[in-house]
Amino acid sequence: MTSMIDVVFLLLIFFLVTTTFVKAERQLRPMIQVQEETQESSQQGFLEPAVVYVKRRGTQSIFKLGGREMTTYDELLEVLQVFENKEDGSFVVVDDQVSFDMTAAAIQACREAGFTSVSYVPANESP
Amino acid sequence: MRLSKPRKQGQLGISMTPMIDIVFLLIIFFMTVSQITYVNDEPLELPQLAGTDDQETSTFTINITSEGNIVISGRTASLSETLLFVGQELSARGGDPSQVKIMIRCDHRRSSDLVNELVRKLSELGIRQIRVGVQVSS
Repeated sequence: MTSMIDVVFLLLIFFLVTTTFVKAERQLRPMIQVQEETQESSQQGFLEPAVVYVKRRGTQSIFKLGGREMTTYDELLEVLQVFENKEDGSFVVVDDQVSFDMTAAAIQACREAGFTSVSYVPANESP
Repeated sequence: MRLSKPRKQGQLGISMTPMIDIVFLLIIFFMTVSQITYVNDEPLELPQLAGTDDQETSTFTINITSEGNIVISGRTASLSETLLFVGQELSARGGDPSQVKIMIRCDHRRSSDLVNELVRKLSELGIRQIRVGVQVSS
């Protein structure tokens, strides 16, 4: 019996050592839209909804909201929190060349700021 | 002089067989469960964000690696193949796009071009919501 227990414990130790621990994952749930629909819906409300553009500027990716350009998540969140029409939702318009890190950060900032819905809109390819 | 009765051998021993059975069952269970998880989720470096919800079971997981490969259930697929799989999933669920839960797990170092293309195509299929995987920073 002793040898059996030895084998079982060896197996346990083997699996403990070889296991790669999975990092905790969560999710964001943006709606998806294409550009034409965004333009239609942006004309419906009294106040214009928040449209965050995620663009490439030189070598880095930036957030553009109205006339303001921001480079960090915290700056974007600060500006988004000022918006009053949170029920109208927000739109994140994403250029092809920006890093996905920035795209996900923009969606997260919109939800964090309290917008009831966030729509992911791929930007039309610039001519 | 005998002070006490000799102890009967083997009466107080604990039967090890059920314990070993349970341990083996646990090992097999965890091995199987971890394999299923690995098949759907590629080891990627996702954006480090808090997210909004805990991950729910998705009907379809699309992994995008930093090199720009689309990996579905451990197999590399082209964009057209991916859309074909999504279409099949859609048909299997009675053609109702709200029944298809699509999780996009994209490496944070990758540009958004592939996700954009996927979103355009998924939108054409009538899908209105996606799930984006993020990694909780430790």
